[in-house]
Amino acid sequence: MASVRLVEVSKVYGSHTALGDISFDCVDGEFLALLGSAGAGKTSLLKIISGLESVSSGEVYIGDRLVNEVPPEARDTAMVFETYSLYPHFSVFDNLAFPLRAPARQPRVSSDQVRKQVQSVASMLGIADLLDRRPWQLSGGQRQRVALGRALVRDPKVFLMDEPISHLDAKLRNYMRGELKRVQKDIGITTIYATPDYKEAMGMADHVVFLHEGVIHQYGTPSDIFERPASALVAKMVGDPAMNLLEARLSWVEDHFGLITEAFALDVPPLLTPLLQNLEGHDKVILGVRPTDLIPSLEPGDDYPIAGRVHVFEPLGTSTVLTVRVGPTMMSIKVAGELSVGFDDRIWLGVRMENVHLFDARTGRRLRPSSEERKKEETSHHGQSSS
Amino acid sequence: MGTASSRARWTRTALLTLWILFALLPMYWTVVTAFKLPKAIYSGPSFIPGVDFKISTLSWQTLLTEERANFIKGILNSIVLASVSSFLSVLFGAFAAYGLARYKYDYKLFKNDDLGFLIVSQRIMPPIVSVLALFIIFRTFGLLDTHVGMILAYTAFNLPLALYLLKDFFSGIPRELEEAAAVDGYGKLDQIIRVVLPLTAPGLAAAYMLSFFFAWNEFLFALMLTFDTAMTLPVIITSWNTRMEPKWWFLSAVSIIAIIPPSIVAVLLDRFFMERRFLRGTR
Amino acid sequence: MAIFSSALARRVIASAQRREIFKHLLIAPPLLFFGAFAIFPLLFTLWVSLNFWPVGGEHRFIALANYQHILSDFSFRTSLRNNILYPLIAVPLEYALGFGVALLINQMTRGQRLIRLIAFMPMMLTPIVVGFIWKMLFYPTYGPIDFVLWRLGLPKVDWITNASAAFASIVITDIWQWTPFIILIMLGGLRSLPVEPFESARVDGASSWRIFWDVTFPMLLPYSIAAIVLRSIEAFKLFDIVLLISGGGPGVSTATTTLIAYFTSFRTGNMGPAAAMSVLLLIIVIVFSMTFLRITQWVLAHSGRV
Repeated sequence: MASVRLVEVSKVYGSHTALGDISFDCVDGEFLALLGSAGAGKTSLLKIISGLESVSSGEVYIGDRLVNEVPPEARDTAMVFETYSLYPHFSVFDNLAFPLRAPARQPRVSSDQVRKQVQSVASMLGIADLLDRRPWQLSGGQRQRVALGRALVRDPKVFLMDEPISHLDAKLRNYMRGELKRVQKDIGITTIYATPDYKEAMGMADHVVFLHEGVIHQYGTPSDIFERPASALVAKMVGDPAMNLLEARLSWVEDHFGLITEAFALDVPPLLTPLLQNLEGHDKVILGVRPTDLIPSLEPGDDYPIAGRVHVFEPLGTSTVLTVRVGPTMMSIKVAGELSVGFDDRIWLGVRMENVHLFDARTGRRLRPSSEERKKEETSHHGQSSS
Repeated sequence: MGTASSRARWTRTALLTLWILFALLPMYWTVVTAFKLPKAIYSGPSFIPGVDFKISTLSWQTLLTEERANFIKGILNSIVLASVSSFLSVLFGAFAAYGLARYKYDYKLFKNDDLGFLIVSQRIMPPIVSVLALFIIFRTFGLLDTHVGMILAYTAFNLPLALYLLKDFFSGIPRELEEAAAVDGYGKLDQIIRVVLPLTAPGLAAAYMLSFFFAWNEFLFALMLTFDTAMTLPVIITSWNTRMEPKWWFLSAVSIIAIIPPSIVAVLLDRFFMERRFLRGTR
Repeated sequence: MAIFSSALARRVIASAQRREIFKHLLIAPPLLFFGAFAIFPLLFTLWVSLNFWPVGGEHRFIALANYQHILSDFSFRTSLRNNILYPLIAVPLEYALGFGVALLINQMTRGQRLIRLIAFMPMMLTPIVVGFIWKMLFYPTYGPIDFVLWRLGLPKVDWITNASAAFASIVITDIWQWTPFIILIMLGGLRSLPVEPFESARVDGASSWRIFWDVTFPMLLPYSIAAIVLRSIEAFKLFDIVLLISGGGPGVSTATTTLIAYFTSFRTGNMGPAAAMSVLLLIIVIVFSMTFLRITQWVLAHSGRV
């Protein structure tokens, strides 16, 4: 069991920068999610931590040990690959036993001990009856569990998982989400888990690192990510349906700010005014409204400044999701219960302005009031106390 | 439809049969001659055992008595040289093929893609060109007529072939398996031995068989670089041919024996080319 | 801090070197073997060809004297002629026969595997053994071939003392042994062909002959070229069969350059002329290969394939 710390790690391939200035702390025993879409750099990061790739600059610590020059076989990490990478010429038993039989392993593990450990891991994961099979005889879910077992069997310092459940069907995925979290809590191994699925990250992790194009956009708890997304990209990723993001121009109307989008205009309540004061040199913002913060009405009114037409509606039982065409864009609305509308019905939307998110259109960063801005600088998003 | 196509089919069958007969008859003749008595041969050709001539085992007896020493020497040498040199070719070839598949080489005269050229140029060069020099060189270093010298020569002879065959095999093994083994605690050499090599086993077998086959049939090198201790079967057959002509019966028996190992290899190879690799189940 | 970084530096260098050395070690044996058994002997032979080089004696540089000598030598010139004639005659025949048999085998429905095995046997045999077998078959007094010819009412052929007949006997043996090679390649090509073009040609009512020329043959062009080139290159090395069947005779009329080089070096003990012969043979083979390569590229470019 050990902590993992990255300090200003970057990885460059020729002229392409895969990772730039990555720093974060993962506490011993913690479940850390790396959240990002494809190509964000999650796999590169995991490979760097495991030692399969070297850093171009920066330092990697496992425990308190600088491991930059330590080869992967000596780092005592375990990895579950996205494609499982089971050894096709070994049985399930031999796959699980393989890490225990490594020649360099100190101390040597006796074959009795090997059998015992493999058995216990296999039973824990429910694959004890598959020990004689070969990987190609297993289903996707079974293979995934063997891959997991192979990583678990030797009690490593750090657990690294690269989208381990993304190739399972939806129901199995939901199930495994819970199972993995459970196992991690039971065993208590430091785990770093890469995924493009925000639900996995939110549901399983103690902390989340949001990665985009090799750069950390945000580090925080799942609720940090959800309540206070640090950038428009983070906001877009988290939420189902995703947050509505629209470009808007700031204007001053009489005595208050107004936000003007292509299709509608909104008054900015005084509550939000401090946020807008930090906008430097331009007047473009990105307005973020959660689908749950839009109020539909079948009649126009002052409280419903957004006009649109129903494009699609999905009754989901306990809630209804509407996709509404507003001007040139689509907006999603989610309401509890049922809502009877028809295709192309006219509809008007109100906004709960107190829940609205605002981002600087140029930098994509979240707009914060000055005081919060200063406070944020001190506890930097590196997640480590200033040294 | 009708007579035209069935006539065509008959023609085809007839032609194919002609060719098969052409291929088979010389071999049949050899087998049959091995069981003839000298006088049965000298009195004119006879074709059917038992009817045209009396079956005898004279050739085989000669093989096992008078000529036994030479015969054993020839066969043993051929077996040893072929099996050891093939093993070395495949060993060195496998590791080099791994290197070519995983690493980038950039020497001035040789890069990864130049392998094909290397192979082809080695094939184009008539062996007489190198064997003359090798004769002088071997003589200088006392390698003439030695097992070591011949093994080295045959290994060099077969390495390019083995490399060429194996290079694609190794490229086809996903790098991720080695990564998984690395994380599991295995160093590079162990990764290759425990994970990669077992998965290339069919390729290794094919390369071995092909190398064995070429080494077994090789003649010019053996002719010039051996004269006593290390003589291979083809060389001994040639010496018998000059010495004992025309004792056809005996030489036919020897030919049959010489045919056996390559035939086994041929059958095994045919079966290999029918099988598919079992590289599944990694996802 | 300084100690820390120097230890770090040492480990950096060690691991980087370890990786580099490993990579080079992997490719070293083949390169070494190639250098020692192909490149060096080649250069050495070149050097020997410029010398008077008795085995076990002093060697003397004589520049191109060996070349002058062998070019005026009847045996060598004959062997060069033969070395070119053999491929020229045998390879087209092997190609035509091999292609034909491959087509026939490909159309078989049952028992193809056994027929394939039988068809491939000849090229599996040790060339020396093949030479012996056919020497036996061609033997004048009581060999079966002459016997069959006599029975068929045809004149007996003197395979040993008649130069043309001897030449033919070698060509026939070569065809017997190496046509299977062509069959192997063309069969591989035939089996890799897609079915659709043939089906649509049939539907269009094309005759078998037409289908062959317009569909089969063009699609198999790469295989044909590979087969012919590979076979020709090997044909230049003809030695084993010639030694066994005719010993180069009558006289030297059937000898190949390799054979003459071998005899020369062993009879006179002087490696110089033999080396010169080898070098000239090599040059011819290289010239041939390059020419063939050009022709191949031209043919492939003009046949509508990239």
